[in-house]
Amino acid sequence: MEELRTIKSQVVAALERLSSLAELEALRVAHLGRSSALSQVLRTLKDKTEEERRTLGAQANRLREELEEAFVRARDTLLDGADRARGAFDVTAPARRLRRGHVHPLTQVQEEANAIFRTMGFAIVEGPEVETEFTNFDALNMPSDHPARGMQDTFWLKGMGRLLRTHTSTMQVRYMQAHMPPLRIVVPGRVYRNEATDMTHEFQFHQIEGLMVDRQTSAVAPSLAHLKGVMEHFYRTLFDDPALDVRFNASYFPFVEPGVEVYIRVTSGRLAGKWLEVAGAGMVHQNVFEHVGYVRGEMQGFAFGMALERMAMLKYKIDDIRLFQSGDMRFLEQF
Amino acid sequence: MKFSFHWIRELSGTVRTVQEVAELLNARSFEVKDVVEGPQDTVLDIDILPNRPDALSHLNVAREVCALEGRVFAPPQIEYAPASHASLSVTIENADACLRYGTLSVRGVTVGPSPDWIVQRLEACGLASINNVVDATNYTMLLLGQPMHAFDMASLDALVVRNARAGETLTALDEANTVYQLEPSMLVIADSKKPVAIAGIKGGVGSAISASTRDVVLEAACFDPAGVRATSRMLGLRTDASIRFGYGVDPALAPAALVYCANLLVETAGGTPDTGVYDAYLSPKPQTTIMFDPVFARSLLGVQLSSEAMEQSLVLLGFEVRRQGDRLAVDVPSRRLDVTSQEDLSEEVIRMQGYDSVPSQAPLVLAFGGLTRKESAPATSWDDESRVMARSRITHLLAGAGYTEVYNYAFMSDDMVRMLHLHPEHELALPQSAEYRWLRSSLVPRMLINVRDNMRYFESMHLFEVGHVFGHLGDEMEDSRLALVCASTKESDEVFYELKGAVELLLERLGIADAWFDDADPLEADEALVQATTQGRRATIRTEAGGALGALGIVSTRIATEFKLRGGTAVCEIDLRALIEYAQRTRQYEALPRFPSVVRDIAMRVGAEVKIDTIVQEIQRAGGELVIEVDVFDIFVPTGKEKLASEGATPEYGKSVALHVTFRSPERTLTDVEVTQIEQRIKRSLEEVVGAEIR
Repeated sequence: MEELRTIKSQVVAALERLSSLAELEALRVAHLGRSSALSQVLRTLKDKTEEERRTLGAQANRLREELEEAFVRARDTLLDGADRARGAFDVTAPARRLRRGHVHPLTQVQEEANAIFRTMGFAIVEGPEVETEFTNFDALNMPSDHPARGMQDTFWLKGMGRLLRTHTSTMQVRYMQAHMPPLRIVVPGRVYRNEATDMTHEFQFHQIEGLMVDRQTSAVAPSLAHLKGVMEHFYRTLFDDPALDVRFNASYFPFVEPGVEVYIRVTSGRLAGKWLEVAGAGMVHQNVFEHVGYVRGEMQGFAFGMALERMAMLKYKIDDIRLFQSGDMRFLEQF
Repeated sequence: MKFSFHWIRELSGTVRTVQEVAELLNARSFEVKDVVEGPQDTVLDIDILPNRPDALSHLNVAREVCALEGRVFAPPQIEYAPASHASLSVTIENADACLRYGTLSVRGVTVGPSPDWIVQRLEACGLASINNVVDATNYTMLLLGQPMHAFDMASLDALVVRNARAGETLTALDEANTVYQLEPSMLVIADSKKPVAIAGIKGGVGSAISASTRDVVLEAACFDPAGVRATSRMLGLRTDASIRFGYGVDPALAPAALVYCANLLVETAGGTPDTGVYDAYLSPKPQTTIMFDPVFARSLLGVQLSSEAMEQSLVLLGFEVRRQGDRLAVDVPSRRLDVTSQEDLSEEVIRMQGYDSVPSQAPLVLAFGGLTRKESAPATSWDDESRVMARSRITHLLAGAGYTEVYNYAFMSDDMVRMLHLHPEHELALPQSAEYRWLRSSLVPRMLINVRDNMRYFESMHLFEVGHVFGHLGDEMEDSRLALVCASTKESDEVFYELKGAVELLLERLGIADAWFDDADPLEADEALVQATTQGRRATIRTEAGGALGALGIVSTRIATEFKLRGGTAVCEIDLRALIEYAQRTRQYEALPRFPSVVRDIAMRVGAEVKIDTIVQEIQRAGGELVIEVDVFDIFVPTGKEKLASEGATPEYGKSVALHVTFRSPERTLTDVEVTQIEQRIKRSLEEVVGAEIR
């Protein structure tokens, strides 16, 4: 008994003088190791009476646990002291900058748009930028002398009768020439118009074309109401505005009839409450169906075309369309 | 086109404000671009698109307003009687180009100024007042949409509608008296000797109304729209008349317009009109009747509208409707040249009902791309889908690796072509400027410009672009490419290795394990990349399968100087299609090593010309299959002072190389002795084969 108390007081005194991990280890071996006084006491227990074994054994074991705990605490104190000894540390000093790249804002909006259209069951389709006159104009109900086909708006390639597509509607033609309805596609892509550039006009920009066609006899043939439904879901999701309104205004594009302009009205931010024109759309003209080789009157469907730049400008409040193609990292690194 | 609001209000009887009318038209008919309120009148600037030639007149815009308001329109009734012959002989030589030709003469007029109310209306619509005769013709055009012309009867001996003859000219009735050279494809109005007007476009000086004119011949015709458009384009001459004829003028209009104009002339200039209208209408346009099925319209529009409501909308717009069973037989008025189908009528109906009555519905049919026509196979859009997804992965990988995406114009400048000695295939017929003349054959030139422009603000630049290039690329004219640049304003070759690191990361993440960098001169590489770099400072990215994926290199001093680049710039161009093709979407797990590996360091000096690749390959050859990795951790090329210091000892050695060599067996734990033996073998081999001095 007395022996156990002595061991305890010795250890407590030694721990107070402790200054290194090596000393701590030596102390631990001395008091808990095989040849320590405590181990000696535990080893001789078997020679004692049952009464002594019960009381002394319990006390010796308790002491061993206490000592083990004391050594752990002493070790923690020593290690913490080492951290403190490293001196003042300033968590408010600036972080190490990680270099990261930036995905172009148009790519970001494009990918978001693709994802929204995919959830509505649209397939993503792509096509060439150099086009024929037939695909870009004639098949879309704009014959060569059509007033909607101004020479000054089109980039023609020298000497080959080819042109740079003025709209992604060309893919309506190419896709329907190769596929049968029911079909539901969107076509993102770059288009070109030979126009003067300013804050809102570029001679090279991007569109997303949409096309959904089924048989006229189908009970669920795509209608103007479905077009409105698709536009509503798309813009509400893109602008994260469930109360956004969609409206059609009468308009004219030779390849649709009826033809409409799509307007949206957002409910928050600087543009809240204003009607903004965002897309051209309508019901695919039967002449177009005929040009791609469908039987006139058999199919019914809607088409729409939206400018990607316009979406990105509204989304990020960008006021100059020319920034997109400036390659200016001060602009690009904001996205 | 400018419209007088007072005039529209007078004709339509609307009680709405100008803003209300503008809103109504905007939503359902035409885009009203501007409303300008003036002291006398309010001007509406309305964008009339080519599908609505009828609306280039106040009368029909007023009719539209009436219909939109749900009221019946009462147009002014103009009575006329036909004359058996013209007071001036009329001959139509080209009846294909001239559908109708009418004249009416007014004798004994006094030419002078017009009354104020005419002057004001003309001015509101952007036309200057000339004299009471010319003003009457313009006023009639603005009201009815029929372009008119007035000739001085004394200056003519006949009216012949014919094609111009080679060499003929016309001195136009404009401020500059422009002389137009006429071509045989152009339709003119001539007297017995020479052209006096370009049909449907412009009158000539010789037959113009002057202060001394007493007798006037009024002309109202209907010319072929395509012919007028072609002539107008060829002459570069657009007039109020040519725009209207180009869109298409109602062939029924001419006689009434002549009578209206003559009556106005009598009112403002006196005189007496002839008793009848001379009217040559050789092959009258047949009445267009459309069988309209309300069920069809409901399906197309997605609205539940009664047949009665549809009928009423059409009647308000001036269509004549008769019921035939469940369908409607609709007679289209001659002015509505745009209405030829059920879809057109459906549009008229929904405009009248308002687009807000179209509900918003989610499409039900489950279609995804459809079936290909030939084999009824799934849509080819599936290929596009995977390409779009792969491109998206690449974009985000590169952004994660610190590269910023740019979008550039797809055109190259004359300067770029000259400086890089390029041979682009495609030139624009009418470029914006010399800066954008050539369709790009490479992404590289514009990316060098990106570096130059950003150098002012940034010390280092990491950029990439994904886009089409154009040329004769197999069967197709365009292909997808990926280009990267890494640039620093400090002079250093480090940019190359930094860029190479990005390329390796990209290849590794795309699962292309067998790619290597070939320093043989790249033959397949992009022309611009080859021109922008020098031999020995560029490499082709090859795969074991043989194909080249692209190339990368350091921009040469010459090109850096031409493009005004400071420091070091490395560029890379990759064939995106090939990259996506090689990319492996699946990854295979490799079992973790069961036995420990041993690492030994080897340091050596070698000649400056010895390639790292040669050393590594020699170590692998000499070491055998137990060498599982060779990792170069230091390359030191002495420069300047260091070189001088080391010259005494070993002048022939150009650089120091240090590497870790890792040994491991898949079957057992290697012994120290065993590894040392292999290490010695490697060192000997390096000394003998590579000429290294092992340190």
